[in-house]
Amino acid sequence: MEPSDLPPELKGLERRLAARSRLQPPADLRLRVLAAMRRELAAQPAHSRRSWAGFWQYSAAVAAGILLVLNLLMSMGNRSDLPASRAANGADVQQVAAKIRELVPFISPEAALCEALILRAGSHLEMVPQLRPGVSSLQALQQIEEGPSWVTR
Amino acid sequence: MPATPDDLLEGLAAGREEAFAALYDAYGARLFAAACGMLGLREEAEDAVQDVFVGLVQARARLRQVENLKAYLFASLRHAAMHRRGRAKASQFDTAEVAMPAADVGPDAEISRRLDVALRRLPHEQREVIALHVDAGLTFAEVAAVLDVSANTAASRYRYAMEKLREAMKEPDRGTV
Repeated sequence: MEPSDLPPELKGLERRLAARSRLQPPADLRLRVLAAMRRELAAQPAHSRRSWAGFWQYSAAVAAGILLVLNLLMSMGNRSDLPASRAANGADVQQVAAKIRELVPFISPEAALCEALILRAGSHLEMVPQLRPGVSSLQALQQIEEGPSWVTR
Repeated sequence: MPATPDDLLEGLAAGREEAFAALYDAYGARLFAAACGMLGLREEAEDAVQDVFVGLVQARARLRQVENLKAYLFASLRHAAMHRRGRAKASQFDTAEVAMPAADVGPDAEISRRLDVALRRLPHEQREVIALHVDAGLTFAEVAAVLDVSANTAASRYRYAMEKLREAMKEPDRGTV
């Protein structure tokens, strides 16, 4: 809608509304406003301090972000050494599965492959002794030398 | 007064006092008129205008990005008026009587008084449109930019407001609230 769309009686009202007596800004308002602006402009150093505070906050946030990304990247780097990340159905696994089937002829090909995978996974496990509360470091060393407790002697 | 609006913006962004004074001289009276229309209280209107200019000084670093300074000023005024309305009871503004200039007497002054009373009974969003279009002299496109609505919506609100005013002016005078 454009104002020209107003019917004549509303146009008349619009003219009266525009021509009605209205308050004028007091003379001292200009002085008051300019004085308030001058005070605010004089507060410039405080503004600069706020800017520096913002800069340091921003820098700290960026540094924290970089540390977090580095941490995640290092975690992923460690995980890349897991046996599961290697080709599970590679030629060596197939060879081991064939060997198992030679030794145990009645086992199915799927079961032989499964056993080969289990052997492959187990070959990459780190031998870490399970330290229990109360186990001294000497006992822990003995455990390492003797081998893990799940090895049947 | 700076030669171009860009010069003015540059002066404001640089914090030059004469640029702020020039801006007040250009828009102060219209901002005050619009503030009176939105708030209905002289003291609150004066404070709202001061809030706009102080806010402008505080935000001067971002002023170079402003494309429409007039719309920015009146949008700031609207924000300041809403803030002031939010701090006090809305009824305080709706029933307050803006003091008329002392010299105004006679039939025209009586019509002005009745129009002011009728304006204060309008819904706030319609009163805003009247204040911006009639009192501050903004076009509907500018009113739309200030209110962040379409120009059609601004014009519709204006028409509804005018129709309500016409009905109110037909009623017998009940004096101020």
